[in-house]
Amino acid sequence: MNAEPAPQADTSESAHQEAAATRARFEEEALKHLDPLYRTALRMTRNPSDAEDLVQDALVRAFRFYDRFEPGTNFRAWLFKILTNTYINSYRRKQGRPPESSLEDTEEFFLYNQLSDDGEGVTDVEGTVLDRLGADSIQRAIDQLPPQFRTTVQLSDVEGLSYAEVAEATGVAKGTVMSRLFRGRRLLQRALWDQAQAAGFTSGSKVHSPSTDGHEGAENGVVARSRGGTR
Amino acid sequence: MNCRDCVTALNSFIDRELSDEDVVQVRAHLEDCGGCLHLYEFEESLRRLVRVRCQEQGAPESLRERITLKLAFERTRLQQRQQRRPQL
Repeated sequence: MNAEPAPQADTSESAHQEAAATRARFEEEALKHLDPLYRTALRMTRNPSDAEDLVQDALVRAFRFYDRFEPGTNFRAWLFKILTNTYINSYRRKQGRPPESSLEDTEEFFLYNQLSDDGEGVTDVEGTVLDRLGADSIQRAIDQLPPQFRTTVQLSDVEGLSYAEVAEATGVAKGTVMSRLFRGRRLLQRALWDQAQAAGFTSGSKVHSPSTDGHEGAENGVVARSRGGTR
Repeated sequence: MNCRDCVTALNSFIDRELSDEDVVQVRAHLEDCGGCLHLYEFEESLRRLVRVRCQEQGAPESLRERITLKLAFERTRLQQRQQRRPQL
């Protein structure tokens, strides 16, 4: 592929000025998307230093190819597409084969079913163990998804891209986006639950070893016993 | 619309990717069915949790500065190349 803009008859002074203004506009528009681009790069590379290099490389490429961007079409999706291509061309090879995800597949609406255990449907994550998961834990959960699901879920559920935008950004058909989201969200629910368990938030649930006393009761029991021992 | 159709359409409904016609049908079902309404509200709140928490993270300020510098450099390079061209 040729990275040079096609040398048209645009060498007059006004054409130069116009080109300069266009490039300045690129920078202003592109930097508005820096946070989403960086977050997505971080999910792709799972490494802050590679993510920074990836975003920079992608934006330089976008700058050079800017004359190929069709005004009026979706700039954000176009930037993400360049990010995806840059990642595939330069970074994925370097990172080698990703380790197989050990994430267990699960039923749809897994978390709702877990948390609605007593027959009463839970209507909000607020007040549940999930609400205690910080940004780090949630990002770790996303990072556990296999790559194609990870990027799709990130673009849709975190960055708020439409199915059509995700399709353009990842270079697949809209139907593929939908099936990746379907599976990816199912896996994400499992991964979020694993994070809540790892943080010790889910004791007393049916996934944890069932205890009739509940967590607090068991703890009191231990305290009482140790007191007995010191006597 | 029955519960099965509603559950199938639920994610697309939350994603605002359903046709207007389907949106009307899902809404009508949710008004009538407490079970589906609970599931919908839970899924929607979960989606919000993931989005809001993850969006707390932004790009480091140093990256913004680095890219601004790099793009300025690219712009200069491009201008120099364009200025040289007419003399050829």
